[in-house]
Amino acid sequence: MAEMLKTMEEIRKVNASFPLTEPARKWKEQGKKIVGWICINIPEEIIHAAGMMPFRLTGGDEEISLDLANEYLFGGGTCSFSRTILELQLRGDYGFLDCIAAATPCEGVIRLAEVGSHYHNIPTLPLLDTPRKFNDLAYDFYQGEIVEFKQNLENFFGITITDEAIADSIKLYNKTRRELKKLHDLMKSDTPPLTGTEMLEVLNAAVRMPREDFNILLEKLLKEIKSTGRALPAQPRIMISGALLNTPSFIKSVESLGVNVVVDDFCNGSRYWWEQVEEGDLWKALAKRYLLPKCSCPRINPPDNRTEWLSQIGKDFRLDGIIALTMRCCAPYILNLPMWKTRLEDEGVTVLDLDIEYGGGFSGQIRTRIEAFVEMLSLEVAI
Amino acid sequence: MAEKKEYFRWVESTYVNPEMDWRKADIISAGIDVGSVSSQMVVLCDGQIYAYSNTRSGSSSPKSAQNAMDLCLKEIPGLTYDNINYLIGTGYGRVNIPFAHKAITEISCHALGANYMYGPSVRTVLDMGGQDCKTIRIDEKGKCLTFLMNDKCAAGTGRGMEVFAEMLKVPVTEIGDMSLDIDEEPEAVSSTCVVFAKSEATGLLKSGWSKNMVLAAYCKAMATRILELLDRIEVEKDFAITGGIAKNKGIVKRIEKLIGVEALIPKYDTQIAGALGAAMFANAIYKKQNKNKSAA
Amino acid sequence: MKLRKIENIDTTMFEQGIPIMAQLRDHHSTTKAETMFYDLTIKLCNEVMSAVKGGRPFVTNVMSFPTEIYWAMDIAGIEYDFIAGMFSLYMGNKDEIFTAAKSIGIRPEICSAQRAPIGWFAKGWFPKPNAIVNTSLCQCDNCAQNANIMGALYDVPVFCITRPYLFWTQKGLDFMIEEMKAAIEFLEKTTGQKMDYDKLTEATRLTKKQMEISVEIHNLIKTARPNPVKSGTGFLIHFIRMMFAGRQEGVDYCQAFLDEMKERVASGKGYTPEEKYRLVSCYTFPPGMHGLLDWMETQGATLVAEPMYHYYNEAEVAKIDPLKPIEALARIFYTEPYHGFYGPYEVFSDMIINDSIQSGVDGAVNFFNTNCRMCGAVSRLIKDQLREKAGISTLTVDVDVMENSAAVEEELKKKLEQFFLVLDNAKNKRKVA
Repeated sequence: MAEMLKTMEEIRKVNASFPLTEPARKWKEQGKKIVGWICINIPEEIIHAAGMMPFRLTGGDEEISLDLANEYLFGGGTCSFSRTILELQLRGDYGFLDCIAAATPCEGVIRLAEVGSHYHNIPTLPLLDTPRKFNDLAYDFYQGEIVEFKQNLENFFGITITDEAIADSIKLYNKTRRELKKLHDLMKSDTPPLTGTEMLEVLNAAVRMPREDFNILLEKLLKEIKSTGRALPAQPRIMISGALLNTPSFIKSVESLGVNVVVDDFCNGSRYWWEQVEEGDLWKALAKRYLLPKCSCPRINPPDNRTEWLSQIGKDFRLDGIIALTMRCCAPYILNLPMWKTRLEDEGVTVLDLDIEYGGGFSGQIRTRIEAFVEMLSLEVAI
Repeated sequence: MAEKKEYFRWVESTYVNPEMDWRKADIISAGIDVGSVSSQMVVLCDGQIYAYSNTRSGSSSPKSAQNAMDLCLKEIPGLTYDNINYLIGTGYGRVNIPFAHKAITEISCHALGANYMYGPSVRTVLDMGGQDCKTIRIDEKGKCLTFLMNDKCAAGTGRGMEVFAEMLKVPVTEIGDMSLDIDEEPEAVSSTCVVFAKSEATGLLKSGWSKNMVLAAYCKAMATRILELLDRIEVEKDFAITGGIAKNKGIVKRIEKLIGVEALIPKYDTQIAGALGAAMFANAIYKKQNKNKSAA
Repeated sequence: MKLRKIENIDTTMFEQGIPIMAQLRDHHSTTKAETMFYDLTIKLCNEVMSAVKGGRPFVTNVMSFPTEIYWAMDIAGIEYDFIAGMFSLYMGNKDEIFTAAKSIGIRPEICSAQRAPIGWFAKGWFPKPNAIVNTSLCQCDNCAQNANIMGALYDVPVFCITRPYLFWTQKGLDFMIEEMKAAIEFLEKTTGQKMDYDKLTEATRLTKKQMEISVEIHNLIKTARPNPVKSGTGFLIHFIRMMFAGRQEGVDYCQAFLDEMKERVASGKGYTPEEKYRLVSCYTFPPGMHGLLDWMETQGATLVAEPMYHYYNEAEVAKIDPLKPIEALARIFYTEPYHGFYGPYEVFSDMIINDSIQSGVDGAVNFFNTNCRMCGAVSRLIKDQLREKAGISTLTVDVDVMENSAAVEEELKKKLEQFFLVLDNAKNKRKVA
């Protein structure tokens, strides 16, 4: 059993209270503002440049009752992620947010933002329109949307956000991306330094605290990994794929069956930090960075780039298997899964297609399927 | 007072191979499958079937496992738990068998068990158990390649059959044959949900349908429901069925008709497939452990 | 099942759907509008089969694709979600196609209307097109992505026209103009046909005419008493407009629809013996449940207002300039009321509320498609706002858009009966007050 990393304890402290983390509470005590955001098409740097703390809206490390949300956002077609967020908003748990910024990636998020804005008390900024393609036309359009987003933020708070401030914020956020990429690359080893559980805890903390402080923690973590030479035992290597996942306890249950979760494709995971914002005209660069063609949200057309990206991950990480967590009603993920599943299977990666609800635990039915999947990877049948 | 007949009951059984002597075996491995409706134990001597038991499960998994083992070992003079080199638990209650050395899912076990029971030509396994159904694609070694499960409802499961048996006052073991003893195949009952099917069946009986016809309609609906699992996994020959419902000819024949493929004929009790696979895994794991030991 | 190219494409099932449309026309139609609807559907299917058998270009699309482009490029085309849904609704093969879709991972919680065509392609029943075009219908996730799967199954190229969330802006319009150009380029490449811009101008002129007639239809609906349109038949003119956009048949249909209404108005009789409950239908009434609509009429209830199908903005229609055909296509895309429902909430909520008030309705029915991620999600909000801004109650029921079973019909009747009592009470309260 590998030793606990000291930095991981600090990270756990950040995630210990949810959703109002200790760093967020301290921030508010200083009279400063927090802007909540849903969806990675919202350029955090702009919020940061405004002097506010960007805070991602997610669920906690457990499945919660959605009775309240179900009254306002009917569950027939709305995913449990949207309803979880609405539930927390209606309960008042997100009351510490000064406003909410949302984009238009899919119907789940759009209707969450629109319906929610009528029933909870948190002001919602005009939605940031997100194209489904990534050609020049889409980038130009999206660039205009980002500029408008900045103006909306300025108008709402009665402030001015300068280009210089944005450029500085970009440097800060690029640092995070570089460091997270380093961490990600270390997971390519046969004996990775972190569990998938720990990786998710790191990712959760990233979006719930001031970025400056997170970067310090991240550097500390990388140093500690290097100095301790931490290396977990080699086990079958799997990826967990899905729209998004914020429950480290789920990954822990999976890993307890004897596998290493070495990579993910979540929107709060690798899709969150992949690629830097480039040099040059900052609006163009932000548009280019936030509408990634390669590791894109499953909603994007055409689907080929995502398939290629996943195939490359399969090779780079020498994956034995992928657990595709298909959140019920997540149409973008469901309609995208067939486009890459067969390809990865043909390349020798076993894929388990699993129905889940956001925040859901390791119930008997899910447990049996994942156990059978792990057995397929590790159990020898030689008689 | 007349004894109340319980139509859902099927006979518990045991088997011991009279031509084998466990004392001559190098490795004695065993598997116990604790399901929600039935539990089995299988004992292998050097990878060959030696003995098995098939019992009704109780509400406690450890007790059901113990019961299956007691019934099996009772038939084998001199053999006790201590003689067993390795024992693996499987099924719904697999994590609650305190005396098992390891737990393996019923999916992997049915795959391997079917390979033994039907031979290396099997590529598609349909398991119709007490509380769920699954389809598994396997290779010539009995390794699971992909699987699908339907554990959300009782359609096509032992539990569903028992409910019907009790309601129609027909012994559950006779349902299959009775459903085939009809003049003309009726329409399937409209709902595959056991709850609704029950009330629909009552209505049909009232309107003059014979018991056999009602059973035929129910079996047809069950077969149609299971067809979905088979279509989705894409049946490749050879096709074999495990689990208790494999004994229900009414469902088996109708499935064969729907998919246009005949199932292989079982030579063993189809309910032991899970425990058999578990015992085979036990044999392989113990062999490997010992090889490592002797190499050290 | 792995996603592999379908080698065996057999259009027998598709062809068998055509005489079934004829049967519906002969045995089910009660209005001229319905008869013509089936006739035109049959005509389009025949055009498709003729093209496929004759080796001429055939393209299939999801709802809201500008089919004027087909006409101007001499391509045979049909809307895949419409025809797969219509056929499966009446051919009794819903289970088969949904199982086929499920086997490649498309679960039942995906909208049936967009799942059905996937099933048809997975079975190899759909005629093979040169290409598939889909649209994001603004923001319908299913419409924007299902064609990828179908294209992979048949190994044909796919193009998606996406529309920004906020339209009615110059920026949005400019975006759509570029999308239209790209769509035309794609079709030229994949079919080998060349766009005839004169024909396109003519086509957009005809679409504009259809929309102008549709404005008249809407005005008549709002003002005439009793309801001169058979309850809940807005979807007929909607689909004909979608598939015969840019064609004279589409204009003739709209005119015939309007004429039939005018006849009714002149006769002074509606379709219900006594119109007691004038209702607005918030979304798509399941087209297979005409039995329910007939029953509702016997109870004096009629779906008068169907903003999704009839609520055309006259000023926006006027802006369509056929001499700028590509811009016209973009404007048409925006002006179509159906498309407005998949965009920002404020846009279509205004349409529903205004239409309710302008048409003088007593109550609202929201029979939303069970798995629709758009309309289902906002049903509570719509209900609250209709109460607040139009003073009417809403019956909210989720029904699968491809539902047509007697059992569900019975359930819905019960719910409607209760709702009529609510409306009676509301009327009585107003009388007393």
